[in-house]
Amino acid sequence: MGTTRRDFLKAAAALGAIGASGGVLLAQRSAQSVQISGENEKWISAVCPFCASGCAIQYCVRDGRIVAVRGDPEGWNGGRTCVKGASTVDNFLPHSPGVRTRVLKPAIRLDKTKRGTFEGFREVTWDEALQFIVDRFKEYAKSYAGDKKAFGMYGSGQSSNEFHLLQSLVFVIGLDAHSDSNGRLCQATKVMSMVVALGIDGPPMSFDDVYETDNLFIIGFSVADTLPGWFGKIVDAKTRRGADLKIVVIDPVKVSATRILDYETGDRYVPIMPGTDIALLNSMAYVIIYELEGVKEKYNGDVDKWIEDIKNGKTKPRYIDIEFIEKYTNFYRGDYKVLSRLTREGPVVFNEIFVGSGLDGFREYAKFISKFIPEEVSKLTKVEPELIREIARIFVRGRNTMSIFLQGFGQYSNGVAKALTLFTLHAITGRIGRAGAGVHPTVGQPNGLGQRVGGIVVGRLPANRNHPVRAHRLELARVLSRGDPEIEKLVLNSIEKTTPDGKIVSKLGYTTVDMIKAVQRGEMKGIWINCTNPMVSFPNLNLLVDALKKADLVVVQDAFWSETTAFADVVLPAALLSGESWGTFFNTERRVQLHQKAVDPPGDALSDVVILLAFAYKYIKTLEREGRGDEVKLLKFLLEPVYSGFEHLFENVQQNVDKLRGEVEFELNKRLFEYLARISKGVPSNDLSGLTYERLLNERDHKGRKGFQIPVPSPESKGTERLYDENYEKLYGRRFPTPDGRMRCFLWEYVPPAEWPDENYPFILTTRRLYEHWHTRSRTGKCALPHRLAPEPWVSINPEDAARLGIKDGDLVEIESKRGKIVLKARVDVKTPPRPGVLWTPWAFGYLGDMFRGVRGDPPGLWTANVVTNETYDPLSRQPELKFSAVRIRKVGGL
Amino acid sequence: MKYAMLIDLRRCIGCRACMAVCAQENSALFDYRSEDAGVWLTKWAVGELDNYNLRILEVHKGGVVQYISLSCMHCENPPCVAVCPTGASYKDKNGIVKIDYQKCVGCKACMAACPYGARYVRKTAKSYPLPAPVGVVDKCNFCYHLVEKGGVPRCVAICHTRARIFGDLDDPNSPISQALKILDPRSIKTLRDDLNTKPKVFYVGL
Repeated sequence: MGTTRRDFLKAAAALGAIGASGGVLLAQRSAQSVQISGENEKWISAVCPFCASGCAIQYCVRDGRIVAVRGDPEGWNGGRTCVKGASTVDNFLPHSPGVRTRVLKPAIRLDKTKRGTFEGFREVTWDEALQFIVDRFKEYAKSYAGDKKAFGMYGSGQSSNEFHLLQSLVFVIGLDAHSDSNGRLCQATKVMSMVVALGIDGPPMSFDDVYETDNLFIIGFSVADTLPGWFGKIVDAKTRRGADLKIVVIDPVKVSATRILDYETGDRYVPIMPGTDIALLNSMAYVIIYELEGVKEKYNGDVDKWIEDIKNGKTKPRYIDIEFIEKYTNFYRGDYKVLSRLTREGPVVFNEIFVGSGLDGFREYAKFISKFIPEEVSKLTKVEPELIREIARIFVRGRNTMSIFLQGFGQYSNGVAKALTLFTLHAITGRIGRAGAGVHPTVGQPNGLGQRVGGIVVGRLPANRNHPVRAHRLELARVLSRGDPEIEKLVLNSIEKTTPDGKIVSKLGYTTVDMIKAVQRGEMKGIWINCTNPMVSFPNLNLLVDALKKADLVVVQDAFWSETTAFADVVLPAALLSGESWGTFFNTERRVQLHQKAVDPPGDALSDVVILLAFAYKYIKTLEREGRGDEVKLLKFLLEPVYSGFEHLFENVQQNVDKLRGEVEFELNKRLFEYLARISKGVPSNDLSGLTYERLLNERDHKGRKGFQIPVPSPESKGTERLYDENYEKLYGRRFPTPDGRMRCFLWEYVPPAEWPDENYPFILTTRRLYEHWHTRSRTGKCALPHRLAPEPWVSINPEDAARLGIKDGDLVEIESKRGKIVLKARVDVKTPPRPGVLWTPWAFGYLGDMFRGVRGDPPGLWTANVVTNETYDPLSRQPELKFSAVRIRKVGGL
Repeated sequence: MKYAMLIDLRRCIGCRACMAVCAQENSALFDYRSEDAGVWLTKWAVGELDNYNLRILEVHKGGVVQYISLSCMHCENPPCVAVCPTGASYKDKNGIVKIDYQKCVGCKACMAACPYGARYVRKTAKSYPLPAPVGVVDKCNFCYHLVEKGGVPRCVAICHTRARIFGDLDDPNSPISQALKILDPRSIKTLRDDLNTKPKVFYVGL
């Protein structure tokens, strides 16, 4: 592979001149691609750093500075972006808050009493900072926290795939330490529901499926605000197809996506009580089986007789897909107690809850569902029985139904149960595995899928292998060890263990909430937080404040002085990925796209990959010097192919900052991508072995777009638009990547959220993302238009509740849960109101407050939503219940 | 040639990406290429700067919000051109209403004459796309520096929901001519018909 960065840039420039062609709307796209910028300016391709739509963008560079941004005409987004993408340029303008708040030099603070402030930091060289961490981690390595060494990294779904692989190689495998990421707060439930239902983590559908479906169910997903890029396609599809595309929005908040609903032609908004989706979805199944198929009327509810008649050909269901059920499904009893052991013990636990295969399983399911009568379910869900019937009829209307969900499922302690119930509904009606039919669990973060493919989250291993499946562990050990049996053993040592009773089980690190609690207990000594801002995003922030104050060592690697950096002992200045580094991202339709570096980062900042490699190199050297070479043998074996030839640069990082930003950085990333591609070979749904940087830059997918949707199993493959369909079955020999090729369907009883309103805490508070801001605002809070549109948080209250409580628009109210309280302005919301009994507040705002005026509070912040939220998590996915807190509301000041 | 734009309000979700990208492309509020760009950015963010070539008006209709994009209408009978004492405001051969910054004396007569509030006095100088000093009047010019090279205005290119269509009315194959052909003529509206300005920004769904 002799391609240099210069060749790449040349090729990129040449490609920029090629236009696309097409119909009316496409003509506009091609016109854009011939646009030029000012003199001495060039456009460099990257990916928007915000949501998981992953819009391809281009930065306009002049004199080494980014001066404008636009959508990349050759991206899947056809040159389009939302206001966040269009505003990213604001973070690069001289003297802007985005530039003024950058971390420029590594810094150390020895006075632990100063944690929680920005005082007492001393600027140091890269080598001093990294050695400081090495000298502590090597001591922590002598003790354990749970199954893993007493330190680890808390990472991010916003780093590159190259970094994720490196994080996994260093922490999970090489050092046998802890590693998890903010994906735990964001997508763990979606991951586990796919692993359980489909056999592996691989989101099955594509954005374009919204053009193919007859009915789109948007459940617990503010898609217009969270993934505006994808929503653009939904608006386009709806405007073109009108009543032919029915849309149902199920959400306790009348989210902005409802504005495109046409109620007159049958679209529906369902204002559900938070947390009760299992009952609603099961009730839809009841309506389909007992009412629409006539099991109640014609068979008097006798399911056995009905199934017998089906088998004898006496009756043929109209909506239940007997063929799919018989061929492709197994049924299981929903049981969190059993399923919570899955990650450690492996798929063997499914045997304990097996109900039956095919029609036999379905028979039990149909009997089980008989109690979910709309009139009964309505009492819990507060959805009118007629509305339940209506949306059940919409669900089976036409041939194809597509469901998309996000944190309305994810951030609940019963989230996996909800998602599995939804998968089951699609399976029994055969609305799955075709263009426009299926469930697409969506993620919010720009590289959410990448952190799973990299293997940094507990439960996933590199190339998104199933940690609980022994065959996957053995295969990983084999590909990582490159024929060295001793290394193979060492790899296995890091990822599995033998229990006292002789069982071989997964060896797992702590998941996010447990990791922070282990830090609080002093069991985990050192935590390295990278590219994430938990001091705004973590549930029950008082818990995090306490934990970080008690920690032995807190390292924070970030581009900005964020809310979390105030708690650090060591701050490491990172380059931004989008604009300042090389690397790849996956979006939520499995599209891998390349970031090209546009400009150098400010100060001494280095890219994430370079920082972690430099740390690892120094760690290896130090332990070898101290006669502990055996401990780093595995790490050295894993990383040598990555940094070989560049060791001398890591000897003195500070002196080599410039070199480590140039072609070396490109080369390191290219090697890491090749590494990931190589070890992904053969992994179902996650195979990117046919991809290289060259292909990502020079080739286009089967629709002529940038990036490729994995799996891309060969150099000839143009990517895979959809998983678990007929093509998939041809490719892999199985419809689903489960042991017997069957999808896992579930009989779930209703599982309530962890807490429920009572007389002391009569309201439910749910949190939401805002369209204008990305996550914790560390960048969008410094972008002018997003800031003007949403400068401060508020709490939205239903007009009925507001009238009852005497709360007016703009009143100051105190929201209090068992965990803490916050004070916010009330908004009597008519635009996106919550249902009665529910309040919602954006969670983007931390104590840094107004970042243009520099108005800030003290941590964790008077208006920071996550002070109130609940860290209790789903027993299977361990994703905390950020979306449901029982609270009380009290007016504390009026206008 | 006769350039025009059609905005489908049924598709507009008020996302304001067009506003953000327009501000950049036309240096409407400040010059993104200047050394003190971040200082002006802050003034914009805190509300001390408010000039736009393109604004979004929010109209509340019984719980439903409609977003109406407002900018220069590039009228066929532009009142601004009629009142300009120096000839700085003029209509070019392609039907685009332009301002010659060299001739503009900042008298604001055009601002008073424009029924759409599309014009403002520049509080900052700009170097891109064309140099302009402080004090001249500015407004949307259909990004003609891009259009004349075969491109489209930035607001059209950026729109996720494809709410904007741009093109040459004299060319029957242009996207806008094609769109106007298939739309019900009664559904196409312009603002302030009564003034006989004949705007070339058309709205659907108003």
